[in-house]
Amino acid sequence: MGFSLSERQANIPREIVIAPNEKVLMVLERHYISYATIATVGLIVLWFITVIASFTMPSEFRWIMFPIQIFVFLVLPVLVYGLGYLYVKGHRYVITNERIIMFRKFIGILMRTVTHDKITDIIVNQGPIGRLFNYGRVSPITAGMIMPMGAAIFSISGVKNPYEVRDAIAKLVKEITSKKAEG
Amino acid sequence: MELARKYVSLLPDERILATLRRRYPSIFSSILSTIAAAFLIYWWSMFRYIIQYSGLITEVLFTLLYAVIAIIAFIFILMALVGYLYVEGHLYIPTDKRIILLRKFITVSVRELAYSEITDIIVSQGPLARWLNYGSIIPLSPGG
Repeated sequence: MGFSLSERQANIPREIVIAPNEKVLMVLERHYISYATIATVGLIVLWFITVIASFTMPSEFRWIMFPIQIFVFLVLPVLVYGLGYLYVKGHRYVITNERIIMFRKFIGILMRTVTHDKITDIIVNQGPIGRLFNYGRVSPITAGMIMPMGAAIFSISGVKNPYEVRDAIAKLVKEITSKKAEG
Repeated sequence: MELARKYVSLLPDERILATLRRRYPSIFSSILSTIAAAFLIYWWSMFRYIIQYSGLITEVLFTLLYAVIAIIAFIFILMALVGYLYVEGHLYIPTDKRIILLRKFITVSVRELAYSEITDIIVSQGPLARWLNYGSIIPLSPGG
């Protein structure tokens, strides 16, 4: 997670505007395996359904299954893993001394901004593959986010060392809260 | 500003920073999504129809093509008329104290949100929105 300033600036998409007095602390990227795991599970389910459908389809209509099988077994994996790479590369998570910016650029753009003083909970989620490869999802929860869907829709997903990220955010939240209490 | 005068009352020391209107193309991305969803739902029926009359496949395909074109044209004409009034009914007024979001279309809805209550800001742009440079900004508060 140690980025030099130039690396950080290069990694920040042009749609994200950093205020002059704002300091960028971390720029995080999504891990491809975090997407590939979900995509593989989805594909296995789809392959299973296709195989079942091929066997249960009446013999006079079985010819219809051939183009579907070609698509599901050959075309779809290339699309899912290929487009998935671009999807993963479109994610950027910028943590500054004032806020967290969660950015996704893939076909469209989705960006969530949350200031540290509004964070009420931080949830870290790791699946079995995530534990193995040391990546996970860090969800900064605010009073405005409706749980559980709010957290699932846009979080810091698939980042390396999620507990370090959680600790860094928790530290910033604590600093801001104590500053507010003093002020 | 007629809308604002009727439904919004400013505080004595409040200053309007800008008045924003919804852009007309923004309604078309919603229409396209609706058409795509309707098309997907109808897909299975069409598929079965083609199989049933596979001997007359060209005739069936052309009938379906005409039907789809007619439906799309109808929805576009309808949305062009209704959508214009819908879009014109939107007004967003950021002041130095709060954001006022006003929508007048059949019913009237006014939401006022103080900056101090904003917990998250979500910016969303679809592909068409990126091309035409518009988008949605969703300020979230503990109220929803």
